[in-house]
Amino acid sequence: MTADGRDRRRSPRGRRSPAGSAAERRKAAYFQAIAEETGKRRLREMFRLTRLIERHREMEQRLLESEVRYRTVVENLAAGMLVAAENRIVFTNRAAAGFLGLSPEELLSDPDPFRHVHPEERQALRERHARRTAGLPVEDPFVFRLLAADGKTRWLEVTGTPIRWQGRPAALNFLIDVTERVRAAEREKMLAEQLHRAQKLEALGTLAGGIAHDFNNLMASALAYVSLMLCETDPSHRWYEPLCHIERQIRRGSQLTSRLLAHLRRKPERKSPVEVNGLIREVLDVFGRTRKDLRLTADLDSALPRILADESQIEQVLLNLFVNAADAMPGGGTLTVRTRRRELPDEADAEKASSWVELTVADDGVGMTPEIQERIFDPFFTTKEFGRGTGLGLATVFGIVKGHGGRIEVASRPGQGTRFTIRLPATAEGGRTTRIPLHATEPPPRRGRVLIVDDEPAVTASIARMLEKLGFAVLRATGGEEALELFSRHAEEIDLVVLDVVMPGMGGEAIYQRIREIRPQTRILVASGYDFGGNLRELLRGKKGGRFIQKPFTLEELSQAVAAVLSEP
Amino acid sequence: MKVGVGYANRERAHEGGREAAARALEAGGIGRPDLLFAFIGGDVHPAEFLAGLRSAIGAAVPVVGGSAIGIITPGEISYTGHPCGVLALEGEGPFFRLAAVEGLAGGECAVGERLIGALAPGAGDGSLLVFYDSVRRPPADAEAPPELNVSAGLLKGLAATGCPLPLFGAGLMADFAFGPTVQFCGSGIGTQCAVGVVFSRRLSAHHRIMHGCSPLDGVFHRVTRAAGNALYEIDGRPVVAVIDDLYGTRDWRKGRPVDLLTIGRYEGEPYSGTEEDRYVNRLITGVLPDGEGIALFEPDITEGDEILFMIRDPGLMISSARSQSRALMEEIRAAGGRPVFGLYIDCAGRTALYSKTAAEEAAEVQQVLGLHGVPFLGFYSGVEIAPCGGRSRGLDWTGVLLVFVEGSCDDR
Repeated sequence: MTADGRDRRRSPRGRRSPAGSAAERRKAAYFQAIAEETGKRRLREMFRLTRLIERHREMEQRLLESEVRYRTVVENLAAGMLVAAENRIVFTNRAAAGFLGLSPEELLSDPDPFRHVHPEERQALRERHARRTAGLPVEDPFVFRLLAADGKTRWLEVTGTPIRWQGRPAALNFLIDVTERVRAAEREKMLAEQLHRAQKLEALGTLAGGIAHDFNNLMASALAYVSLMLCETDPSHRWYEPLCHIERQIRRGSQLTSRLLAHLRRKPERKSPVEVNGLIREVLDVFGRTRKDLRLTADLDSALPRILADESQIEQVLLNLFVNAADAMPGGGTLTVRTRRRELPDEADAEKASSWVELTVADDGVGMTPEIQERIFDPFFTTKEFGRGTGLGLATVFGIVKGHGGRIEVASRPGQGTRFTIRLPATAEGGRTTRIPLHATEPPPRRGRVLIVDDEPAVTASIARMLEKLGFAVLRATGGEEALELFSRHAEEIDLVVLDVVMPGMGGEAIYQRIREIRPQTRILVASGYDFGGNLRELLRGKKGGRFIQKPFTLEELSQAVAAVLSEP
Repeated sequence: MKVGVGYANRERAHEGGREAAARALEAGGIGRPDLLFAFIGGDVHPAEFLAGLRSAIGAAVPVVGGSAIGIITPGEISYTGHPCGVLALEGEGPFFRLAAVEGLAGGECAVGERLIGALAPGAGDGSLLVFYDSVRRPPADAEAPPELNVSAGLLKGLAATGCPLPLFGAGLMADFAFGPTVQFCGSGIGTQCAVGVVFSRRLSAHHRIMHGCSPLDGVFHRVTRAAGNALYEIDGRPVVAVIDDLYGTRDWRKGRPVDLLTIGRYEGEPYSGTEEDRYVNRLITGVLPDGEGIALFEPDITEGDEILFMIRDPGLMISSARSQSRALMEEIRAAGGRPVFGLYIDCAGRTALYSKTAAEEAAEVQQVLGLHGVPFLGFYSGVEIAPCGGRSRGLDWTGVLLVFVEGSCDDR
């Protein structure tokens, strides 16, 4: 019987249970009640378990989703994230393993992950890790180098916090790749150093320029007197040859100062046909005097065509390559320069060939690894110790060669030296003018009055002697104001002014302009140790009655220059 | 006969179709398939899937199947993502006929009659497979139960002309929410369709029904008010109140379908045994929106019927899948037939997700058929159809394992 009093004992197919005695019915009702109660308990218990399982599954699902969310965030972080416990990596995201060029699995199975740290920071990093996992204070951040699997070095910045990982003390570390930042700082520091060095060089250049100027004046005076002496000495005289020798030495000294001054000057690019072999000989000559420990050999093609180039820039290329080679041979060695004419296929038309000048500079020095070779033309890249190299030498070479439409290659092996090969397009244009021969002869006698303006009394005196030797009467002025005063008084009598350029107070340019204002047709011979530029060059260019003569000069050179300026219509 | 099974789970349905078909052909060494069975998860786009499938098999090969809640193959049990499964058959000579009829929403019985008329089974045939759309109309809202096409009407139509063949099949469902389903009807895609395949006697169908429910308390109740697939009263009491009392809570009412409890009907001689195949179970799809009664998957419980409350038993479900699969294969081996391929029509309620079990009962089938080297394709359905108690009927909470055998032994 049920609570509502109905008899629900029924058989399949709708038949009631067989009627029986009251005791039998009670017995059947008893079993049914037990079955119903048992069924209910079973259903309720299973329903409870089902709800429990559902909640558990929902929780699992939420955990899974949460895990996916966090994993997505962690795995996609650009920053590296790793957990280290007992000197092993126990968790890493892709970025952290990627810094090493490893997969997370490879890093996790690495028995000694500290081996990837640069030796100079390895111990410090170990100690930091030990302190952090021990709960001791650690100063963050710490920047260190990591040696990646591809051989490259990365700079990483690490910060961290102590945690417990599976019940053990561990450190959670965050890694940021600061390689670019560190390199930028290095570049900034190098630039500052470069600027400082450039300022020092500028100051040094100014000083050297001053010295060269004074030195030039000394030699101008000496050369003048020697040439006067030679003029008055018979070639059979026993002092004639020594005087010739003195004259040659003075000229060589003059060339040295001239090159020094040219090197210090910033000149605009002026391309003209250049005879490379001659330039090589000159630069080798100068370079050889500074590096006596090197053996310099030149294997130059006598049929080498000229190139269309800025001579000073090609000189710079040679000098930089020579310096580079010398630095690669600290214990001495052989520097070999070789030139060849090459006929190479035209880039635009493979059927055609064009002529190239091939210049090879080779040394038998320390050589370079392929990694270094890859970067040698990068600005500021240097393998020299701090303060010795600017890292600009080969970058400059590269820039100049490219600027001339040329190509540059390098071949090197550690311990087997280095060879730079430069190819520059040849030109069919004619070469530069030949230099004035040294030999002096008795000049023809002349008449007239010359005003000499030079702040150096010795120079003024020597030029005066030469002009007097040539037959001129001479007026002398050691400054601008004195010169103008003299010129104003004797303007109609003065046939020629020999004018220095660099002088204290009023300079040559101002004097030149004032004289032209006073008497425009006055002939002026500008004499200077500098291959000067600026306004004075512009003033002389295309104007009649003005000429330039390079100090120092011989009597013959002066004679020719004077004749040239006076003969102009 | 060559048989191959393929599986794919790809967001792009075209890729899934192509991949599953290609794998089936490769697995079976099949060059020119004669027939394909294909089933797809509810999130797989049917037309794109079929286009992908056809890109691998060509336009002429008939494809039979449709929506499924999940896919079972020898290597996969999947009801998440975009699962799809294909079974390809290549025979020597004709071994099947197929027909499809639409219009289930207009009456299941009529569709059954037309389908059997189109298939015209005869003495040379061995078995009939029917797949039909279970969902006539999806639930209007979260509270309302769906409107379903019932197997009883369809089976009545199929039996109207006295079909001599054992009949197997499934009511197809695309998801647990009773969403719209599709059927692959040979050459195209349909809805509200029934598609039938008659196999020749060259392929005899052997089957077992895996159960999973046992009587809650063994007490019989008489249905005192019912209409269609709605059950209102048993023993003169509101059935909802009776079930409230059984659960000891009203929380069960949230279940769609209802958890654990089903309605069972005893088949055969009264009190003649407690074997699991003596009970036909009816899924309770939910409480009616007005709370006055419960909706059942099938409308075959009528006033005056004796019913029992049954309880879903996960342990029984798994052990039944194991023992019945083994028994079926032993029987086939004993008869000397050569098993060619299997079909496993499995109630979606038997998934581990729905049953709250740690293990998948379908894994038992995988293991047994795998041991015997029988390729098979399975899918999760709404209703399973198989001979039970002397006639073919719609079943709930069961798994129907069919193994087709080449040889002369008859279906058991």
